[in-house]
Order: sequence, then structure tokens, then C-alpha cells
Amino acid sequence: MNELFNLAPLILVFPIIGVLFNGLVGRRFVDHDRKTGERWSGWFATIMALSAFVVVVLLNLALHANHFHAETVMLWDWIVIPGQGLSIPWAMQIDTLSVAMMLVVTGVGSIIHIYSIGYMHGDPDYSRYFAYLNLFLFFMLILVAGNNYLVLFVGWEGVGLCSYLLIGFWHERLAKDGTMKNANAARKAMIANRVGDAAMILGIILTFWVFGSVEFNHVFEEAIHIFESHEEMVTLVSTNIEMAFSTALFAITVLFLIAATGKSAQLVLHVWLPDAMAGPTPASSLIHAATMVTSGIYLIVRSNVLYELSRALSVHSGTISSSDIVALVGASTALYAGLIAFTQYDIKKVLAYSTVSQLGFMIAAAGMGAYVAAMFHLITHAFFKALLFMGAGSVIHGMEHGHHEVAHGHHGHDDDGFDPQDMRYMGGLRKLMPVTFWTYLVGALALAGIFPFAGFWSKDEILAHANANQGEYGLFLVLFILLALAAVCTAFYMGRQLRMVFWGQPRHEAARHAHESSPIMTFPLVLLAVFGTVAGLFNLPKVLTLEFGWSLTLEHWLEHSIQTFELMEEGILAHVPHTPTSLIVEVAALSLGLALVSMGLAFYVYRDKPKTAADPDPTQKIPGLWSVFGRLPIDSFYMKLLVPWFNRFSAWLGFKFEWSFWHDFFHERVIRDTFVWFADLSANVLDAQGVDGIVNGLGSVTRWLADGIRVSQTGYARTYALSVFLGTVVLLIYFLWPYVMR
Amino acid sequence: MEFTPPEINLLIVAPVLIIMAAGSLGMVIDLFMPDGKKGWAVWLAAIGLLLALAQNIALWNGNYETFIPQNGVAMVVMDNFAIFLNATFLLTGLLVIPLSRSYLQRTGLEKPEYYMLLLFSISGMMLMGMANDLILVFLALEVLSIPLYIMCGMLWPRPESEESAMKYFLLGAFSSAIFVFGIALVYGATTTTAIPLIFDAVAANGLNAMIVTGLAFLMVGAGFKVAAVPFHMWTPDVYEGAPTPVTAFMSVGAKIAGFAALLRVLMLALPQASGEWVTAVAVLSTLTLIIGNVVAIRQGNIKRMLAYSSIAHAGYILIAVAAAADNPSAGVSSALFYMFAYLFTNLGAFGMVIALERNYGEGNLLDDFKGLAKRHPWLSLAMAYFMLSLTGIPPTGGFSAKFYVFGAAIEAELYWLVLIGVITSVISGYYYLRVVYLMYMFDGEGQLITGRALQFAVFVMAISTLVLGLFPEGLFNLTAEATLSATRLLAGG
Repeated sequence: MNELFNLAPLILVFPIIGVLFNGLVGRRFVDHDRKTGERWSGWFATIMALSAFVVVVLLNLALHANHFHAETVMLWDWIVIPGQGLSIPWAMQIDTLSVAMMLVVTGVGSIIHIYSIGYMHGDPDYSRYFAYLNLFLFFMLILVAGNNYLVLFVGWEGVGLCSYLLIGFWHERLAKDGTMKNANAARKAMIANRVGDAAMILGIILTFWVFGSVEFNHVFEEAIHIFESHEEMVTLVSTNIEMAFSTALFAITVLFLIAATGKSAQLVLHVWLPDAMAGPTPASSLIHAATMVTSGIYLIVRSNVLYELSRALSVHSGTISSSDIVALVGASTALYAGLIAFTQYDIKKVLAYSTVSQLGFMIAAAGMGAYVAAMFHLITHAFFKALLFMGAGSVIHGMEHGHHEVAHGHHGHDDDGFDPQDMRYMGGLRKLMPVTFWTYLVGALALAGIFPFAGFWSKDEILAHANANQGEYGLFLVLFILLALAAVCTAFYMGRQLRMVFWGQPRHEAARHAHESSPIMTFPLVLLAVFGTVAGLFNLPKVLTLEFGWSLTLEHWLEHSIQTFELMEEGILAHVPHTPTSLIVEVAALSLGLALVSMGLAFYVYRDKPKTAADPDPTQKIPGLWSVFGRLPIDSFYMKLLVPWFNRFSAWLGFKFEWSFWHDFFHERVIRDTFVWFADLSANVLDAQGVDGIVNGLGSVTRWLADGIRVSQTGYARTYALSVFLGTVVLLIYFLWPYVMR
Repeated sequence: MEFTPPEINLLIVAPVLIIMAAGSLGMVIDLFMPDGKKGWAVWLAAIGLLLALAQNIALWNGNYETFIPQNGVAMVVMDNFAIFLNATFLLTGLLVIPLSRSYLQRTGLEKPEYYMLLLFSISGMMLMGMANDLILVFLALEVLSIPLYIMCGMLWPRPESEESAMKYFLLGAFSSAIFVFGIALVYGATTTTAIPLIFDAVAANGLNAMIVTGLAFLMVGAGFKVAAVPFHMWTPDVYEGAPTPVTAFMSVGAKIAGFAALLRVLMLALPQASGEWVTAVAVLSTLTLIIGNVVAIRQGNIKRMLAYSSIAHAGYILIAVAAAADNPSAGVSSALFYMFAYLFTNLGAFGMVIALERNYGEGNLLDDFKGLAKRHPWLSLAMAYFMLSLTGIPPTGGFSAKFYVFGAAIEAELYWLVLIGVITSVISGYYYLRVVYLMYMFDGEGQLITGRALQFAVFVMAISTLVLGLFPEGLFNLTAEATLSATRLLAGG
């Protein structure tokens, strides 16, 4: 094992040092001297993130030296129950998959740290923010580095906590109608994630029951073993319960899918992510676009063996496999969220629904067996979506500054319900914020899938995969259509957004006075724009059967940790959908053409509309779009049906069942009165007359005995000598009795 | 008959020699000191005790033997058992000195001979622990007893003190006579007084009526010293009449020495007779527990109450002795633990009694404890803690001790004895906690007269009791080692 692997724990140590620094003393620094304090607080956290990044790069080198073979770094035994076969180590699995995730997390994370230094400037809770950000890195790295499901779950819950804390970072801010908007958004995220997390726990428990371990490698080996031996039934560990293997596998994988829908905001648990935009924009960018929300994809890709076995078993039996469900959920989410994005005015909410949609792409890819494509899209998406969010942050910053200037110039001009995030107030920012504009343009083109930006390559690979396998899997045609439509939507709403924000005339005074953000914010934008442009190189397909040295890097890299490839080669798995390795020109041309047309259409439709902030949106003419998707059907379902009924049920439980029945009737009447009756009986009858009598009697006897013995204490030495003498005689009799009797 | 001098190594008996030398030196110095100067004696005694303690500890794990006559069996053994007991006696002495000082001053008793007699008595106790020959046991018994007779009567011409001394002397002589008769009978049966040789003789020829008669007499002698029922009747009178510090010293030192003799005789000389003596010890224990605890309830005088309490505690240690018949290591080590824990708790309680006694015999009633908690919160707290420890409530040394003793008895399957021990512990709560009740729930006039030395000693004892309550394992391991070194003959034989 390469010695560099021993550095692995450092990726957790650095962020936690940052947490301790900013959590314990950061605030004192900042309060003492704002300027230097911010510098210390922000840069300390950033340097910790960068240090973690450097360590990850070293781990990457170590993997190279190790010929890409995975290594497990044992830290300590965590949960051990001897005799029950339960031994869960706290260990880190360093393989190409986890390192790829770590590179994204620490790389994009570091850039966002730098951006935050500028963005959070002047915030009263500056150091708290950076403590949360470092804490997030810490948990996210636990999540991706763990070598078993339970450690993964620790990170899973930890990032959920950080997400909650950061969404509610400005928890005291109220909405215009006086509700606690940010705090509610944080709670919504927590509650939606709880549902997924419950499924995750059940999935882990079931995994342990079926396979006797929660360590990835053991679980997968055991699963393959059972699959190969064609055993129909498995016995759950420590029980006598038998379960069909296919059922068990199906249950585990579906539970993990539900977990992923929570964390990665898929139908029907996606509702929290758009609201999560209430948090600081860099946090949205890091957590709710680039990294945390992709952990669901990571979970599925990590469990690829289970999903592929499920697919193989269902091909056998002709039923629907959990992989198919995964792909369907992802593709539907992609289209559904893409349609909702049409109807949003908030610049960040458009991006949020876009994130939901793109996560749907990844989930769909994972469900179709295109694990590399899923990871590829995950990585490119991390770059350009982080870029877009931070660009949006820069725009919001600019709008706020503009509004500030206007408010200073014209007194009493502050009451028009201005919202710096509302695209209807923007317009023409192209000239005022050039760096933001150009970088944003790169991000938008990448997201829309325009050649040659990163998104084009990754999205195309997913579509090509769906296309290539539809002969063998009928469902893939449906998926292909859904995803292609989603891609059309993506191009359209991004065109709409570009047009509304950067072109045309400013629709508000604030937009007229907006100006470019500081270099500390624009520098990360440029950096990410570069990545957003060239990240496609990571997994360039072979073009026209020619192989370049660059092509399929990611696939070669990841095939060392995605066991499905191995199983394919060994012939254990016969039916695995293949991803085309070379560029399929028809599909590429189709997706590029659709994107270009769609984007052009958007530019045409929004060429001079809306003219003022009050004008209606042109797409409102499309029947059904605004009336169905604009009303957020699933949110409405939750709020109009589920929540009221839940509240009614809670009220019934609380007032009727708990209070009237359980407390008033059962406790007061049945238990209390019975108890009082019995206590009365035992105190006044049994105790006072019975027990007290006995106890007092015993006391009297003891006292009487004591008095009696005391009388023998005459004070005469002769009495005492007599006592000794008698004692001696008795002892002698006892000792000699056997000899006398003999 | 040719006389060959025994093989002697004085370094091994140095702890005893240091004590005796300090005592003798004090006697000589006193001749040349003017009457007004008396403070030196305290320091001489304390330094002597400390030196002896240091030398004693240095001998740990040595398993030395000396005074080896022709037959090759040493009369004095310095095994860990002896060293542990020696440490117990020396600590007793070291703690009694600070308790005595101010009491002696206010009762006009401050004489150098008090401390010198204390030292001589301790030297006897130590000899008892080291003795490997019944003759030496008897010698030690006398050396420890005679200074005590004198100390009990040191408050002459007060009649109570003289009565105490006289009774103790008369009955002590009576029991000593029985004890020496027991030695004679054993010698008659085995033709030796050396403990290992007695063991060998019994192993070779078995028991006979003569030996068991001797055993009965030896038990009576030791039973008298430890105040086991029915050989206990002197205890309340002597404890009440003697100067209180002397009572404190007797209640701990003499009792432990008595048990040392008993353990030597029962465990090392006559373990083969354990089938005979175990029932006798258990019955003695039962009687002692019941009488001691029950009668203590009706005492109005704190010294008499503590006298019965000390009888009762002898009963608990006798449980351990009975358990040792079946389970030597657990029984003996739990007895050693009990005595060590009892040392701190009981001396602590007596420290408070001494502080409360204004003048000889005044302030010795239980009612004098009323309302002390308001005026002396810390010392009252300590007293309450000692009472809890004597009752055996955790976390106290007394609890740990009872825990080990009962544990040993359960291992030896003496369930009924444990049952009696537990029941009498509950009874003992009545009179111990009454002291707490009186201190905290009533108003009263009582005042404590305390010097810094006494406060310090009480503090040390309270902390020790607490430590033994919380972390008993350390000491228990020591007692186990001590037991091991004494019973290694048994294990080997």
C-alpha cells in the first residue's frame, strides 16, 4: 500500500480544524476587528478546504501509483458486538469513485469558499457561516469516503444537518406576509429529508439482515455469491425468517432509491430544494447544486452491483426491476422540474428547478446502467451549476447595490415590493456586469447542452446510452423521449433567463444602477467558467471511431471501482446496458439541434417581453403550463391535502385521544382513581393496622430484648467473668462432643 | 543440653525495634526534661511511627524470616500479611496522636508516658502480626495489653477510669490465662508451639481431643480481645470509663491485633480443624452481630454506643473468618480489608466524640450531638459520613468492606450468616443514623473543641473512607497479596 494513503484521515482533520477555529474563536476575531477578523475567519476556512483538496490530489496520485486499486484505510473499530457477527469499522475506502467525488467536493468547495469571502462580507454571523461550510465539507467527505453504509449514513445525516443550518442561516428573516420564510424552508428540507432518511435506515438494516454486513465490498461479494449460486431464498441474519432473494434485493434497492429521492430532490420528495434557496447563495451553490444533492446519485452508483443484479433477476422473471424504477423516477423528475422552471421568476428558483431536473438526468442515467455517464454529468454539472449559482449571486449582489444607490438618491422610493432576485426587475445587465455575464453565458450554454461546453458531452452520453439500448430494453425509448424533452425544456428556460436578465432594457431603477461585483467574487466565476468549458474532456467519446489520447478518461478511471464492469467481463452478468464509446452523430446532432432551436425560440419569444415588471409572461398563453406546473402540483398536494389532514389527525390525537381519552378518562378515572382507592386501602387499612402493627411490634420486641440484655450488664466484674466462663464451657462442649460420643 | 542461639536478623524486625526504641528513649528523656515541657513527646512518637512505617513498607514482598531456632522454623515472619497488619497498627497510632493532643491537654493528662505506652502497645500489636510461634503470640498479647491496662486508668483518681482499668486488667488476665492454657494443651498434643509445625503435626496425626480443647481455649482468648459475644461484657464498661482517645485506640488496635492472633491460629496452625471451628465462629458471629447491634440501640451514651458498635463490627469480621474456612483467600483478604476500612471510619467517629467531650465524662451523651450541624457544618458532615460508613451505605469504605465480606461468605455458601449480617446492618442504621438525625434536625448547645491537628486527622479519615468507597480495588488487591503470602504454605501444603 502506498504510504500516501495514510494521509486519508487528513481530509477529515482539516475541515474539522476549520470548524473548531470558526466555531470557537472566529466570532471574537470578527467582532474585535471587522476587517482583519473577516480576513482571518474566511481565509482560515478556505485554507482548510484547500488543504483537504491538496490531500485529495495526493490520494489521487497514490491511486495512480497503486494502479487504481482501491485501498481501505482502517481508522478504528466502531460498532462491534462480539458473538453476533456485527463488526462495523470506521474505515475509509479510497477508490477511484470516492476520490472522484472528493475532488469535486473539495475542488468546487474551495472555489466556493473563496467566493464566500466576498459574498458574506459584512454579515454579522460571518464566522458562523464559515464554520458551517467547513462542517459541511467534513460530513460530505465522511459520506463519500466511508467504506460501509453506516459511515455513509453518518455523513448523510451530517450534510443534512449542515443543509438545514445553512438554509436557515438567516432564520430571523421574514417573508413579506410575515411568515418565517427561511426558518420554514429549513424545516421543510429537514422534514422531506427525514422521509428519505427513514428509508435509508430501513435499507441499511435490511442489507445487514440479508448479507450480514454493511461494508460495501462484503455486501457486494455476498450478493454476487448468492446470485451465482442461484439460491432463491435467503435467511435473514440472526433470525429464522426466510425471504426471496429477488424480493430482498428489490426492497433494499427501492429503499435506497427513496433515500436518494430525499437527498437528491427527486419526485416526490423534491419540494424542499427550491425553498432551500432561502440560504446564502454560495451555500446553495455548494450544497444544493454541486455536491450534497448528488449524494443520492453517489449512493446508487456505489450500489451499482445491487441494482444490476436486480435488473438481471427481473430480466429473468419479466417483472419491473428497481433499476427501471430508478430510471423512470429520474426521467420524470427531469421533465417535470424542467417544465416548472418555465414558470419561475426568481433567478435562483429557476436554477433550483434546473438542478432538480439535472439530478433527474443523473438518476435516470444510473437507473439505465450508465454509471459512468451519471458520474460524468454529476461532475460537469457540479462545475457549471456552481458557476450559475454564483453568477446569480453576483447578479443579486449587483441588484442589491443598485437598489441601495437608488434608495439613497430618491427618498421614499422603497415601497414598490422590489425583490433583487426577481428576473422581472432585471434586464440589460450584460453591459453593467460584463464578467458575470460572460461567465454566466458559459454556464448557461453548458447547462443547455450546447457544443462544445461540458454539459453537451455529459448529457449527450446519457441520451446516447438511452438510445443505444432501446432495442433490448423497451422502456429506454420512453426514457429517451422524456429526457430529450427535458433537454429541450432546459435550453428554453435558460434562454428565457439569459434574455430576461442580461438583454433588453432594465425594467427597474435598481437594474440601471447595478454594477460588477468585486474580484474576489468574479475570480471564482472565471475559474469555474474554464472548467465549465473544458470539463467535457474528462470523458470525451471516441469521435468517428478515432481514438484520441484524451477520450473516455473517466470511464477508464471509474471502471476500477464500478464492479458491474468486472461482472460483465467475467460473464456473471450477461444483460447490462452498454454505453456507446464513440460519439453517435445522430443523437448528438439531434440533441444539439433541439437545444439550439429551443434556446433560439426562447430568445425570440422573450425578445421584447415582458416590457415592464408588471407584464405577463408570454408563455402563459400555452394552455396548461402555468395553470398546472406554475401552481407546483406536488407542493399544492402536500399543502392542501396532506398537511391539513395531518394537522387534523394530530389535533385529534392531541386533544381527543391524548387529552380527553388518555389523560382525562384513562389516567384520571381509571388509573388515578383506582390507585387512590388502593392507596387508601393500603394506607389506612393494610398499613396502619397491619404492617405498622408488625413493624411497631418488631421495634418493641427489639427494644424489649435490648432492655433485657442490658440488665445483664451489671457492672460487676464477676458477672463478666462468669459470662466468659460459660462461653468457654459451651465452646468446650461443642468441640469435645464428637470425642465424648465416640 | 547444648544451647544454640537462634539466627537473628534485626533489620527484619526493625519496625518493632524502632517503636520500642522510641518508647524507651522517651522514658529516658522524660527524666531530664523540666515538668513544663511536654510537646516533644508527641513529635518523638510521631517520628518513631513514621520511621517504622517507612521501614515496614520497604520490606513489602520480601517474605523475610528471622529468629530461626534449631528446628529451622522461624519465630518471626515478615510476610505481606504481617506488613499489612503492621501498617494498619502504625496508621492507627499516627491517627490517634492528633486526636489525643487537645483532649489530653484539657483533661490534664498530657504526660509523655501516655505516648510511650501507646508506642509499647503498638509494638505488641505488631509482634502479634509477625508471630509464627504461639509463644510469641502470647508474648505479643501481653505486650499490647499491659500498656492498655495502664492507659485505661490514667485518669486516676477518677473512679470511672480506675474501675475501667481494674475490670480490663482482671478480665484480661483471666482470658490470658485461658489462652496460655490453650497453648499448653496444643503443645502437649503436638510437642511444638511453632505454627507451621503444629500444622504438620495435625496433618500427620490428625486431630484429637487435646488439640480441639486447646483450640477452644485459644478462641476464647482471642475472642476476648476482639470482644466477641459472650466474651464481650467488659467492653462497654471499659470503653466508657477509659479516656476517650484510649477507647478509640483500643477499639481499633486491640481488636485488629486480636483478629491477627485468631487468623494465625485458625488459618495457619489449625486449618485442618476448619470443619470444627467454622460452626463455632459462625455462631459466635451471629451472637455478636445480634447482641452488639440490638443493645447499641438502647444506649444513651455515645461511648457505650460505639462500644456495642465495635462489638457488632467484630461480628462482621467473624463472618469473614468463617468464610475463610471454605475460601481462605477471599475470607482472609476481606477480613483485612474490613479492618483497614474500619480503622478510618471508627477513629473518625471517635475523633468527633473526643472533640465533643468538654471535660472528662461531660458531653458524652447522644443528646449532646443535637444541633451540631448548624455550628460545625463540615465536621458534622464528616460525622454523618462516618455514620453512613459504619452502617454500610455506599459510597463509603464501610460499604466496600461489607460488600467484600458478604461476597466471601456467599462464595463460602454461608447464606444464613449473610442474611443475619444484612438484617443487623439494617438495625444498625437505626442507632447510627440517629446521630445524624440529632445533629441535623434539632437545636442544641453542643460545642466542638477542635484543634487543627484533630480537624486534619478527621479530614484525612473522611477522605480515606471516601476513597475506599469509590476505588476499593487498589486496597483489595493489596489485601489479596497479603493473604497470598500468608497462606502460601496452605496452598503449597
